[in-house]
Amino acid sequence: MQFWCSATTRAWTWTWQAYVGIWIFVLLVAAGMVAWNRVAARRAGMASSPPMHPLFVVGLLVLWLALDWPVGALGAGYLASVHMLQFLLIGLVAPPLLLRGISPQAQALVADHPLIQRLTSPIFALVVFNATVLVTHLPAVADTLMRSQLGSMVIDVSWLVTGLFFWWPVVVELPRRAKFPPPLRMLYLIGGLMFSPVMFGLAGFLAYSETPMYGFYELAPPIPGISSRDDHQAAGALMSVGGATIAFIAMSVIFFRWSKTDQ
Amino acid sequence: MLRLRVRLVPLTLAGALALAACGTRGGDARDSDAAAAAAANGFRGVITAPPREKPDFTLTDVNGAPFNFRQATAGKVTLLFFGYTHCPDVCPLNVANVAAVLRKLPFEELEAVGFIFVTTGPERDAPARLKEWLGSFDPAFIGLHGSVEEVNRILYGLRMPPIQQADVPAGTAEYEVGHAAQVLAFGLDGLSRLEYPFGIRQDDWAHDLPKLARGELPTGAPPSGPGAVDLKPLGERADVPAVAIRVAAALVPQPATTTEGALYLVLRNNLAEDTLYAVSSEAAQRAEMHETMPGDHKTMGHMMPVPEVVVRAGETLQFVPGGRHVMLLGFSSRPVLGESVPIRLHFRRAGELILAANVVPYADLERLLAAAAASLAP
Repeated sequence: MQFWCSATTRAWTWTWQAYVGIWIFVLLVAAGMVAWNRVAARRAGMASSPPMHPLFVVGLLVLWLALDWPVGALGAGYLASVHMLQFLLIGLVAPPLLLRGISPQAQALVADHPLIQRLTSPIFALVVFNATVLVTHLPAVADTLMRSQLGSMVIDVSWLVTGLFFWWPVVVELPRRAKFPPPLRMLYLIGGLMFSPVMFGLAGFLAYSETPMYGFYELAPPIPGISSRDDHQAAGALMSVGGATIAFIAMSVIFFRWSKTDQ
Repeated sequence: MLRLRVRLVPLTLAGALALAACGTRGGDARDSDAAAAAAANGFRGVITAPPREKPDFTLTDVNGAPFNFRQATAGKVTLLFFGYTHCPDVCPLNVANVAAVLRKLPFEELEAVGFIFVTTGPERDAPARLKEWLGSFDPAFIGLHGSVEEVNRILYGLRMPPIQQADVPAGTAEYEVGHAAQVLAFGLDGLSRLEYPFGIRQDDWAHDLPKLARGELPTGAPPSGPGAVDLKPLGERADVPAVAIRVAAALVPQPATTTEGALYLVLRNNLAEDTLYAVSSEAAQRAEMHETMPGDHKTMGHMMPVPEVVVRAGETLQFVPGGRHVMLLGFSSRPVLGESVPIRLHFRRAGELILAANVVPYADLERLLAAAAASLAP
């Protein structure tokens, strides 16, 4: 039994594997959110905390799906394309859904804290998120970290944490967010995600590099029928198309909500 | 141009088998000094000393016709690999990586390179199966089939470990076959000066194959480094040619505990064929010679005890990480850096050789061993 998904020299099989650390991590995220909302409700003088937003549960499931077997194991040890799918799910899909689980009282509890204000300010969040995406996808870093369970966990958690920062200005509705109206949010998503030079650059290297970028995946026990070149190209395509699609969906939601509010 | 790619080139045979067998991947145990040293020779493969002559053997090709290796590959750069089609990792990766790079070579260079795959699992690798499997990578790859005994004879001649196969119950379809993980490269002159351990990347093949196809040979100084030739047989002058066994290095990477450690050696037999039949040490309860074998879909690789090792006249014998090595079990106290561990090598002909093996950081090991091997090159 392993703690976290990481590289292995064993050939891939569809035999289920248990990753205890991932279960603990997902449970901690759920418990943390529940506790946070409860404390906030108590401080706000409410008898009980409001029910958990269904999208939070969906976000939790997405996170679990991305981290655990088989997606987590395939992504951590065998296929760069699945690793990229993991990145999309952990960094771009799960965070906005998880953030929906923060009750307004819980948001208010931390919103005025200077550290939270700094971490979730749009420019800071955008830079930190893109820097994390860049660093964690550099071959030297990925090839080194993905070999150990701890390193693999560091990558996954860094995507989630910086993803939460990145999505906070878009998702969390606070009065002071008036400074960050929907049109700016859409621009933020366009610059930080849809046409992010980091995402496009990495996707380009993955798709068009003469030889596989990550030695780690090039030398992984092969999955029959998938060459490392095809795998890398699929990863590149997934990064650019997936990132842009998620940004487009988020922008659509922002736009329709905005137009609804205006009406 | 910005190069995001970082080379993690495995540069020793040690790395080769270690990668295949010990649960690490991609050459993470490699040392950048060793990489730099080998790269200084102009190639990214590992230089073998002395060069191997192209073996003269005849096996059956995938069409059932006899194939004389030396004759059929004369005048071509020939990559020779021993593996089996049911191999879950090393074999398909090696073959796929070579195929991927060959596809990108210009026609003239492509025509100058041949790839020969000798099956180490003849029971399951019938010619038709071999043809289909190799064809899925590159139809021009040549598959050869022979009995285990025939293939082992070839391996012995090439100074490579024999096929290792556990007893398999009748009717078992999936089982492992232990085999060497490196690809031997024979140049246009018919000599193999380079081998490519598992962990070599497409980038490395793309660097070396065109050079080999143009007839270039490894040049420049072989790997060297301080402290490589720091151990001599006690009581003998190592620089006197009459010494039967010259030990260029005996190194113990600092073990984490007293439970076990490894001893690595580089030695040369200057006289008649001899056999190393035992190793012992006053500092450890037991010393056993082992060979690391690649893992398969079920196992992480394993070590096979080696009862004895034949060292032919003029041969350089290397005990390296991931390949042959000596396990030292039950240290009386944990060896620390700067200390030495007394070692006794027991040869049938040369008798007992007493050494003091230096305790070194693991990170320095490959560089020191490579330098020691280079120091013994004729």
